[in-house]
Parts: sequence; structure tokens; C-alpha cells
Amino acid sequence: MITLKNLSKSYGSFKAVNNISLHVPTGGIFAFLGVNGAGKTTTIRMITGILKPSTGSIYLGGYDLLADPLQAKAITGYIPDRPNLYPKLTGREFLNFMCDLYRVPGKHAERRIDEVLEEYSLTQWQDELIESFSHGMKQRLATCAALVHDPRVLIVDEPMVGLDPHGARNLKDAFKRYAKAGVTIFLSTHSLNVAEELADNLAIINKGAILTTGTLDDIRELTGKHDEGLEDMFLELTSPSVEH
Amino acid sequence: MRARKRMSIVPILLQPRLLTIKNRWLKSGKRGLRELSGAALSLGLMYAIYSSTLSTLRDAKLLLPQVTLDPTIPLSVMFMTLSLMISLSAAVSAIGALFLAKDLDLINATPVSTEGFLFARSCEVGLSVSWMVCIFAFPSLIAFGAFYNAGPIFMLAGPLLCALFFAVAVCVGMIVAIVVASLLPSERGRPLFLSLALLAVGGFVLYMNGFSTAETLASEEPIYQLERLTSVTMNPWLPTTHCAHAITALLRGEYTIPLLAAIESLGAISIGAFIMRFLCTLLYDRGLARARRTGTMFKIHSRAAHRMSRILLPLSSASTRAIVTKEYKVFSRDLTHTVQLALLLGLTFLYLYNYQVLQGPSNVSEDVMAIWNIFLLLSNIALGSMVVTSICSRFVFPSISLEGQSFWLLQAAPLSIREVLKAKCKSWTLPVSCIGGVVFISGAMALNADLPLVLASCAAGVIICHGLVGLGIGLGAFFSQFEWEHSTQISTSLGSFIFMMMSMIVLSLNMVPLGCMFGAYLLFPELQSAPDSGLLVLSAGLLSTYLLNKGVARWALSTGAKALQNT
Repeated sequence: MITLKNLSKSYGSFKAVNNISLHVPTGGIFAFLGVNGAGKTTTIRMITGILKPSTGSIYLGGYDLLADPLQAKAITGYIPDRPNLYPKLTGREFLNFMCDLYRVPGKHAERRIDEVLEEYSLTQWQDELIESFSHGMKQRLATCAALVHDPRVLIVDEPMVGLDPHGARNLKDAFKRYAKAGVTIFLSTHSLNVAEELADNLAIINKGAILTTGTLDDIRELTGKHDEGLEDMFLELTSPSVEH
Repeated sequence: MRARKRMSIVPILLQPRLLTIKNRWLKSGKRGLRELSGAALSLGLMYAIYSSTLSTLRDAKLLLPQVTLDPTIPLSVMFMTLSLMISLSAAVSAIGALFLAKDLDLINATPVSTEGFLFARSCEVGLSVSWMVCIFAFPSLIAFGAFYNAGPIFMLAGPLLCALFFAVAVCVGMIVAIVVASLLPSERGRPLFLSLALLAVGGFVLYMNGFSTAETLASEEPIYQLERLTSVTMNPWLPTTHCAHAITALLRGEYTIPLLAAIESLGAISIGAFIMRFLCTLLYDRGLARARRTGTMFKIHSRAAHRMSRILLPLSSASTRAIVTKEYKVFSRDLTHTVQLALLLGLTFLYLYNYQVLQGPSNVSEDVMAIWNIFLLLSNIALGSMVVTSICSRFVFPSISLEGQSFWLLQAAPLSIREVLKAKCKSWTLPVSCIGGVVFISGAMALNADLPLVLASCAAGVIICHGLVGLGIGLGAFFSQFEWEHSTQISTSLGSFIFMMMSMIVLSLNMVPLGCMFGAYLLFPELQSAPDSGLLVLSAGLLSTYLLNKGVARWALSTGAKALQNT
């Protein structure tokens, strides 16, 4: 569903992402892990079409993002790490705006908005301005906006930031449900326990390059630590003293 | 000791702004180069203003060798225009800097005194509007100095006196901002906006009724009419007149009047600072609380509002409708926009009221009358377009940058950047054309022009509005900056100034087809008696204007789209 081929992004002489290639199969949750500044957000911004890659190509649902960006973006939903939304719109107005941008037909849009607002407990706030929302509410609204057009690919950057334990639990359950329904979720996170709990496959990125990719068992095999959790393997792989 | 502490806090509070500018210039690659080229353009413009002022003064001396040219009148006109512009810009910047800036929480949590905070913010606002003084006032002053062979003392003291005077205008802007923000809470933007619309309609009706009084002035000779207009700026009670007299005295080598004017300005600044401090104690917390209050005065029915947008914009695509509706909603709910609109509408009425005086003389030959009418019709379009340009520089140019941190929503959505720019262009063309249309029709009717000429002026004005809106959106995208501290920074940026300069060039280009159109229609009376030929001339003129403005808008939009894609 998501294919990255020799993807790079350079800022002058600095290579933020260095020639990475990945394949994420349809359905399921793919965790994208890395330390701060490893290149996770840059990669995600390229996959969502916000940032232009310096070299390489990106395929979403078979559509080439660079050659056919509108088709590729139409099947994608994006939940950013910082929910910067339009503060002067109400929650419902914002979702209507997103439905129109993604060309969701009128009546279906109304129904979907009701559904997602209900699912993320925002129905009673739907007519309030977003500027009056708490961080967690904004994060939930951003999630609603990413889901309102029923995307086939969901790109998520640090989803648990600002969520209370109830919100975090609900979101994790929702991700499992979507994955079961055939949505491909590309999840970038610092929370290794979240990745361990949710991910079917994962990749670890460090200094702009992919260190390893596969299932948790594959990585255990690679590091030779058969009885240890993801945290230990991650720390060993991304340790500054280890040469890869 | 305490005063010393207060003073030292000012550079600390200004530091982030200055470092941001430095970093933007040095560390942002292509964008830094773009801004550097903008600065070079500004320097070129300063030189152009200097040389054109000097050559105008020399030409005037050649034309009227016996007359001693008194610099007080042009200087007082320039000071009045600039002080109005600076007060308006300062008021808008001050609302942002005092009540809406993102760093307010950080500063309020630090041990900074009210005086220190106020002084630092005044300096910031003063710096943000200082480009108007540097670019327009200083070169003109130096040109006057060169023409009147003034010594080096004038070259140093003249700009200093001028800067002191404009600091008073900044104080006035700051005071207006504190009062406005404490009286008009941000959540009442929409009712205020509607009240303004009603006021505008009422003002227009009153203006149309005012024609009868204006007709009595029509019998005057143009020179007297011009004198009547300029004499307004020479009122001895106006501070601008004092400043103009002081500069004139300085040109003559007299120092007592300039010294008194400098003391006067310093006194006014001190009084202004005192009023500001007093108002701050009285109103700042109230204003800040109101600006931070996030509730709405009326319940918003989002579902009904969305259905309404579908009815009002039935032919637009869903994405265009989404952007247009979003633009109007955000605009009507933002206090800074509404305040700017109020001030600009006030200026527009001032302009229209003054324009009524400039009607044609009755006791001249038909040829002279026709040329006078062509001049007036063209100047109506030119001056009206300048009003539209100032509206565009406040609302249209910042439109892309105002997306701010939310721009990712449009970048990630399945629509191209060009579509986004086009939708923004559509959003703004209608309101700007409506305001422009009213200004152009009012101006043409005030001149007692024939109906076809009134309609042609209106059509030409609307076409020019389309070009200016396209230019504003395109250049706004080209000079976009999404990381602003407060939204009003964008309309006072260098990019906004370059937009205004480019608009002037576009306006000058428009004068060619429009001049030919009005010239052909008014200089050949047989065209007026043969409706078909007259219509043909007007249509040809309007078509040329349309093609020109369409071209400008297309060029600007594609340049802006390319710049945004490469960001």
C-alpha cells in the first residue's frame, strides 16, 4: 500500500533522509521508530505530500505521489504531531471544510461528521470555536479530520501526545479496528510500548537511514535478543556507540 | 536605578525580533536572497523618489521663474498623508503586539514592568512602520534640501525632526489600539462587521445626497478648487503644519522654529507615553482578557451555515467553496481585520468627500473641458485603485501567510497549490470589487460624468480590482511567511511594500488603454451621438484593460504557486 523507493531529502549539504526504501503491506499497522532528529517527521511530511523529496519516489495505493499527487492524497489521511487547525472555525465547520476539500458528497459527509464526532466524544463541542479547545480536544479533532473521508492510508505522527489515558486507550482501540477493516496505518512514535502493542511490522530509522525493518520477531532475530522487549533492542540499535 | 532597569529590558524584549530578522536573512537560503532583492528594490525606489521630487521642483522653478516656491504646502500634504498612514499601521500593529502576540504568556510570566513592556512594544511597532518614513519621507526631504541648497545641518536635523514627528503618530496609533481592543472584544468581530457594512451603506446614501452641495462648487476655477483642497492641510491647528513650517525654517537656515517643533514633538511623545501608561493601567487587562476570551456572542449553527454556503456558491467546486467559506468565516471573526476595515472605510469616505470638490470648470472651451474630464476620470480610477491597493495590502496580500501553521491542511489535501491560490483569488475578488465598484461609481458620479462613462469607470475599476487581487495573492504566496508572531506583521512587511509598488506599476500600465478609451470618447463628440461607435470604443478599451489585468493576475498566481511548491 505504501512504497518508498530510494527516498532522500537534503537541506544543503545536510541529508535529513538518506536513500530509504520501504514497503508497507495493505492493512495492518506499521510503526516507524527513531530517536529525535532521526528523520521520522521529514519522511512523514514527504509521504503526505507536504514536502518535496530531493530524490526517490513514493507510491500510495499504487498512485505515484509525485506524478499523480491528487489521487494519492485523496486516499490518505494525516494526523500530525501538533494539531494546528483553524482556531476561528467551529469543530463542525472545520470537518465540513475537510469534507469539501476531499470531495465527500453532501449527505454522506453530514453522516460521517456525526459519526466521527460521536466516536471521539466531540459532539457537544461541535459548535464551539476551535481556539477554545484543549490540546487533547484539538488532537482528537485532527484525528476526526483525518478519518472523515474514509482514507485507505492513515499517516500518524506521534498520536498519543496530549491525550489523557482514556483518549489514548480509545485511539489505540480505534487503530486496531481500522487496521482490521483494511486501512493501512503508518505510525511514527516515541512510545515503544505503543509500537510493541499495536504494530504488525516496524522500521527503525537513525540519522536519516533505515537500520532495520520487519516484524518484532525479525528484529529479535537480528539483534539476537530473543527474550527482550522492543525498548532494549531499540536502545541497542540506536546507541551512538554502535556502528551500523 | 529603577529607570535604568526599565531601559535595559527594552533591548532584551526587542532581541527576539531583531534576531529573527537576522536569521531570516542569513540562514534561509533562497528566501533570504529574495528579501535582499526586495531591500535593493526599496533602495532603488528611495533614489527614484529623491530624483523625481528634485526634478519636479526644478521643473516648477523653470515654469514659474518669478514665483518663490513655498515648500510648506507640499511638505504639509506629505506629512498629513504619511502621518495618517503611520497612525493606521501603528494601530493595527499595536493590536497584534499588545494583545495577540504569541509570546505574551512568556513575557507576562517574567519580571518585566508595565513601562518596560509598553516601551519595548512601542519601539517594535515604531520599527515595523518605520519603512514608510525611510522610503517616502527621507528621500523627499533630502531632495528639498538639495533644491534649496540647504547645508549638512538640514540633512541631519531634517530627518531627525521628521522621525520625532512620526513617533507622535506611532503614539497615537498605540493609544487607539489600547482603546479599541478594550472596547471591542474579539468575539464580537461579526456584529461589528455587520454594523460596519450598514454604516458603509448609510455613508454611501449620505454621500450621494451630498452632490447637491458639491454642485455649487463646480463654478469655481480648478486653481481655486486645488487651493481649497490644499488649504485643508495648512490649518494652523494641525501638527503636520507645524512640522512643515519647522522643516521650511530649517531649509532657510533658521533654527529657533525647528528647535521649538522638536521640543513640541518630544512633549507630545511624553504626553502620549503618559496617556498610554494611564490607559494601560486602566484598560490593558480588560483588553487582554477580551482578546483571550474564546466564547462567541451568538451561538454558531455550523450545520446551517454550511448549507447556506452551498446555496450561495452553487457553481463552485467543493474545494473552492470550502476555501471561500473558510476565508469569510475567519475574516468576520477576527478583530484585527474588522478594525483595519473600519479605519480603511473611514479613509475611503474621506477620499470620496474630498473628490466631490474636483468638478470641471464651467467657463472654458469644450476641448479644454474634455481634456480636464479625461484627466479627472483617469485620476478617479487611479486614486480609487490606490484605495483598493491599500485594502488589498491589508487583507489580500497576507491571506496566504495567515494560513500560518494550518497550511499543512491545504498542502496535504488533494488539490494543487494553484487551485488554492485561485480559490483565494475568487474569495477576495468579490468583496474587493464591491468596495472598488462603489468607490469608482461614486467618484465618476461626483464628477457629473455621463452614464456610459460612469458604467465604463465602474467596469474598468472592477477589472483592475481583479488584477490587483491576483497580484496580491500571487505576491503574498511568493513572500509568504507562516511563522509570524502576530498576524499584523505580514501587512507591514517588506513583501507588502513590494506588492504596493508593483500595484503602482500595474496601475500606470492600465492608464494607457483607459486613457485611449476616455480620450477617444470625449475628444470625438460624434462617438457620443452614435451609440454603436461609442459602445465599440468603450468595449475595446475595457477589453484591453481586461486582458492586461488577466495577464498580471495569471503571472502573479503562477509565480506564487511555483514559490510555494518549492518551499
